[in-house]
Order: sequence, then structure tokens, then C-alpha cells
Amino acid sequence: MRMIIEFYLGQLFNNIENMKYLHLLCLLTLFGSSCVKDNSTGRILPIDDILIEGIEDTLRVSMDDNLIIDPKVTSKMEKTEEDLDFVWYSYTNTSQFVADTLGKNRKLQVAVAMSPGTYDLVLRVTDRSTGIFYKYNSKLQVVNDFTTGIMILAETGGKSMVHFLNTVSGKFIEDAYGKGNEGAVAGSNPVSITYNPQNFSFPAEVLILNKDLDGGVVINPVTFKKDRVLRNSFLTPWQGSDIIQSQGYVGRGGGLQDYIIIDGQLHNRSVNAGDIKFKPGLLGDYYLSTMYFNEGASRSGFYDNKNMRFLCHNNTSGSLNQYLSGSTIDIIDPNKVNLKLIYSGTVSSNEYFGLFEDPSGQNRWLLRFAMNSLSQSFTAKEKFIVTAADIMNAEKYASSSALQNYLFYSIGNAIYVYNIVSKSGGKILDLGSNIQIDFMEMNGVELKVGFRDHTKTTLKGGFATYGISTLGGINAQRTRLKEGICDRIVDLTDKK
Amino acid sequence: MKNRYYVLTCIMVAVALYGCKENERQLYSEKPAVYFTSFSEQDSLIHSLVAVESREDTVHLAVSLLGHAMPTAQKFKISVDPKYSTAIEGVHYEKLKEEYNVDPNKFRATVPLILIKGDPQLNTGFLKLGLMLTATNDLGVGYPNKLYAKVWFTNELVKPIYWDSFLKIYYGEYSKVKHQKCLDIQGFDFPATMAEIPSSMFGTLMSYGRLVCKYFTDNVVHDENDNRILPWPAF
Repeated sequence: MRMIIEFYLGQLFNNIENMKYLHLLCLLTLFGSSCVKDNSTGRILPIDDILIEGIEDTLRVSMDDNLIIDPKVTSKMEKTEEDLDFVWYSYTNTSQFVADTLGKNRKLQVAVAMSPGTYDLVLRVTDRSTGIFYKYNSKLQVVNDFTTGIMILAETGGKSMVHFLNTVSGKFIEDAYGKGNEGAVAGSNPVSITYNPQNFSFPAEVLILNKDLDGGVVINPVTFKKDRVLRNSFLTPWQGSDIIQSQGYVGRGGGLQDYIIIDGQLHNRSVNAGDIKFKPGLLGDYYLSTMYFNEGASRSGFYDNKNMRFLCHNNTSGSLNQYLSGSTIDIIDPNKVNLKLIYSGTVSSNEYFGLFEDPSGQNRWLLRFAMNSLSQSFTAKEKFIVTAADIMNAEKYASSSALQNYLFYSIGNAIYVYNIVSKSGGKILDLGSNIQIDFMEMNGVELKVGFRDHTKTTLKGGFATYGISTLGGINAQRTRLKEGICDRIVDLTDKK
Repeated sequence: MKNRYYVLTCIMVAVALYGCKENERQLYSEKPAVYFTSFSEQDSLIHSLVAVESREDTVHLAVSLLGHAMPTAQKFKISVDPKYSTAIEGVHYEKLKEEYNVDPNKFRATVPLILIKGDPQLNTGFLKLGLMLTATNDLGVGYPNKLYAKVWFTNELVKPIYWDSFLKIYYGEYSKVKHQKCLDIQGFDFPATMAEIPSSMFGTLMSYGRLVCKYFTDNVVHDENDNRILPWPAF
């Protein structure tokens, strides 16, 4: 077949006469293909230029409030509102095909019934005479009282109470959990409160841990309504009917897994797979500290206080693994530390420190090291006995990678700071002689402090926040104070 | 010379035109028919009643429709093959219904087969039940090699056919002793086929695998061949 075609074309192009016909054929084809039907009507419509002004690029509104926007719409052809169609609608990335129509007049006036979140808000103005429309896009943030603020987990009369301080409006919502649950309490013997935002198919949740029969509760972060108790949040039924000894929550290193520690055992959950239930304890001989090392890391590192060694969950398997000893074993052997972990802190991504105590309780040690829990590598930097002021009596601790190398600790009513590199420090705050500090945590450069004021006869518990700065030497400026809200502050967690 | 070109051109045009013909739409025009979805001539379903606490257990046999879904329910029949079967109606299985339905506008139907576990014979071996699809006025029978379902059942443990390809990841090497411990801890047996496990159940199996592994870590247990069941790297 190929030979026939080659022969035929060869003969065709070798013949001058045929070349003429070929050219003619090509020209006819081109003429034919360039003929199109002209559908124009001959009537020309002038196009207006409509300008929409007076809408803020980002609007913030509370649920159930009236959203009122009075935009200025000007037409170069001086058209009136009767000549134009207006439509206001909002959507999110997941709801754009069922956009919510908010109004059909130039001036928008509507009671906001959407759930809290950020929406795209659009005003579309259509010129009735031409059908051409003009749009103005802005962002609409719908918030409720529980959108942004500090969640306060407190104990009052032995019960777990959740209060909320809206840091935008300054509104303090007492017993936020009770308000969302017909006056119920969130359990007893509170341990911690955590806000977990939505992560792909994993729904947003607030996780409250308690040492009680339910072990804690999971609540809706928008309404604070109870969703389920921790006892029912395992893939296999929780064994036993005793108190669940919840000890701590370990955040989502790399967004893959998160964990809870119950009686020293680590229970993981596949966040990336959308699993809301935890698995049984990881296998192995260990009893974990509630302190962990995963800020900025894709996998989490832990410390086994029973065998006094570091452990990592370097994959998604059902057991914890040891670190590779590496070349700095003469400084710290990660598998034979022979110290008990008291507090862990992050210096920067994959670089950490830990405050330890020897089993005899005679000295407190500071260990600085780099670790990568994914590759199981461990590199020791330094190990020394801490000589900071009264460190042996330190009770609560805080640190932040935003203020690298500073360790804050409290004794009674006083807060001290210690630089782990220069090995120097001293007292930074004194809250008064009748104050007992019960809780400390740093978020960025904000230090949160929970305390009891023993001058009060009831509701001794309160909290304060401090902005920490290193300008002119490290110093703390109080930014908030809330007193007399509970018996004792247990945890303070930002919700954004 | 010119005539050669014209002849050649005509031949090529004729060849090109000959190649054009109307695309025949091969639609199914026969009477709709049924066949067993998961069985072929070589397949049989091996079902263990060991984890069943009640007197009966139900096996669901999937039947598919060949042809068009119909706007009204369509009847089909299943009969027992006495030559193949060792199980006795009323003793080892409940009598089958006279007819079963493919619901309106559906392509699938499920036939519940109720097995009875009381006979001591089942403690030491299998009983067999052969089932055949037969045509009715509504529906014919489909693929000839998918009209027969062979069901074997026993009170003994049966190693799931997908243990080595899937369950081994969570539960390690198979042994009857380990299988029995799985039933004790889980309270349920593994589905007979992998197809019966929804992906939402993987996390549950993974979790139970961890619990079973912990049991064999904490306890020295030997399998039916007197080898110690050692812990495995469970998920």
C-alpha cells in the first residue's frame, strides 16, 4: 500500500500539468473553507460602564447579626436602578455550585444564617438592556462567639468546666460547654483541651481529656455541643470499666497521625485518612512521658520514662522504634539516657531540648539535641546539670520556638527565665504573695499563666497573658487578666 | 500513462468507499437472565460457623442480571442439586423459597441462605450444598459457567483465602490457634472473601491485629504444630 501511494504521488508531482491542477485544488479548498455565514444583525448596542463602590474587601459579621451593605452603583449612561438587576450571593470553595442568594436589591440587608467560616461574597449587577453584567467580589467572615479566642479548661468543684474568652470582642462566655449542652458538665478531673481544625476529610473538633469514666469528650468547635465521649472513640471497644487515665494529647506532626497518651500508652489515629477513632495502644515495652518532640517534624518523637530512652513513631506501624545512636553517643545515647524527662521544648525545626532529672532526684539536667523521627537519626549537642535559680523546685514550664533557647519555669508565685545556651537567667515575674501558679504555656511570644489567688474565698482560679519581648533585655508585659472564674485553671488553648 | 493514473485513482476511491459501512449497534436483545455473581465452575464458598453463637447463620449469595433492568420485579428460581449436596434440607439449611426477585430497575439481587449449625458432623468436617439457577417465565439463565453455586460449611475454623495476601499484614502467619484467639478477642470471624470487607473496616482489622499481637506478646502460646506463636510487626 505504501509503495502504491509513493508511486502515485511521485508520478503526480513529476508532472507539471498535474502540479497546476494540484495548486488549483488547494486554492479552491482554501476559498471554500473561508466562506462563513454572517449572523450579525446589523444592530449595534452601546455598552455601559457600571462602577460598583463602597464595599469593603473583607467584611466580618457575627452569626444572626444583620449584614447591611449600601454600595454605590454608577452608570456612565446614567441608568437608574430600574434598568439594572442586582443579586448578592455567597459561596465557599466547596459550595460554589449551590451559591447562597442573599439579596436581590442594590442595598443588601440580611440576617446572617450561615455557619461560621470565610465566604466569597459577590454583588452582580446586570444591565437589563444588554444582558452584560458587572461583578464585585469581597470576602465575608462569619463568626460566632466561639470563633476566635482562648478556650479555658478549668476545674470547679471537681468538675471539668470549659469557658471561652473571645479575644476579638473581649466577651467572656462562662461555662461555654454547659451552654452548648443544656447545662451538662464536661466530665471530671480535667487534663487538657485541644482545638483540631479540619484536615481534609477529618472534621474539626475540640478534644477535652479527663481522668474519669469517659476519659474525655469530643465537642463541635462551632457550637460546643458534645459529639461523643472518648470511651467511644476507639476502633476496638475500650477494655475495662474503670477510670480512663487520660494524660495528654500529642498534636499532628506533619498532619499524618495524632495521638493520645493514656496511662503511659500511646494511641494513634490516622488524621490523613479521616479516622476520628483511635487505635489500641502501640505495642512495646514503654511508659511514655506526656512530653513529646514533634514541632516542625513530619513524625513524632517520644520519651519512655520507664526505660529512660527516646522512641519514635517513624512510620505508621503499630509499634514505637528506637533512634539510631549515631556518632554523638558519648554525649547522649538516645537509647540509654538514664534520666527521667520532666519537660520538652523546641528550639527550631527538628532541634529540641529537654529538662531531665536523674532517678535519685539529686540533679536536673538539660539535654540539647537534633532529632529526625522519620529517619530515626539523633545528634546530641550538649548535656549539662542546670544551675538555674531554684530549678530543683520548679513546678510548671513553658517555652516557644518563637523565643529560641528560653526556658520559663514557675515556683509558687514567681516566674523565672533561663537561657539554655548562655546558661544564665533569673526571676522575670512575681504575681504576688498569695498567688500559686498552676499552669504555664507559651504560644508564639505570648505566655499564658493560670493561677489561684488564695486571698479569695471561692473561685480562686484565674489567668493572665503576657507579651514576652527581648528588647532591652527579656521582659514581660501583661496583656490580659481574668480572675475569679474557677477553682483551678487546667489548660488554656488558642482557638482560631 | 494518464489512463494508469485514472485506474489507480478509481481503485483507491473504491477501496476507501468499501471500508465505509454502518456501525452495527450490538445491543442485548435476548430475554434478561440471571447468574451467580461470585461463582464460576471452579469456585466454591467455604463457610465456617465456628464464631456463630446462634443456631443459624445466613450466607448471602449475590445474583446478577444479564440484559436490561426491568420496570417491574422479575422472578428467578434456585434449586438444590441433590447429586452434589450432602446437606439435608431442614437439618443443615432452611428450605429455599420457591422464587426470588430482582427488584424493579435493579441489576443485582441477594439470596439469603440460612445454614444450621447443630449437627455434630459439622464439628469434624464439611457438608456440601449445590445450588442451581433455573429459568422462569420472567428470566432466563445467563453465563453457563456461572449458574452453579457450591457452598461448603463446617463448625471448624476455615483459613480465609485472603489471609496470606491481606490479613497477614495485620495478624502475621496463620495458625488455627491464632485464628481461634482472633475470634475470642474480636467476637467475629473474618468474612469469607476479601470482597466482603469494606475499606472502612481496614482500621478495625488493623486495631484487632494489634490486640491479638499484644496477646501473643504477653502470653506464651503454641500453635497446633507445637511451635510458639511469636509476635509479629503488627500495624
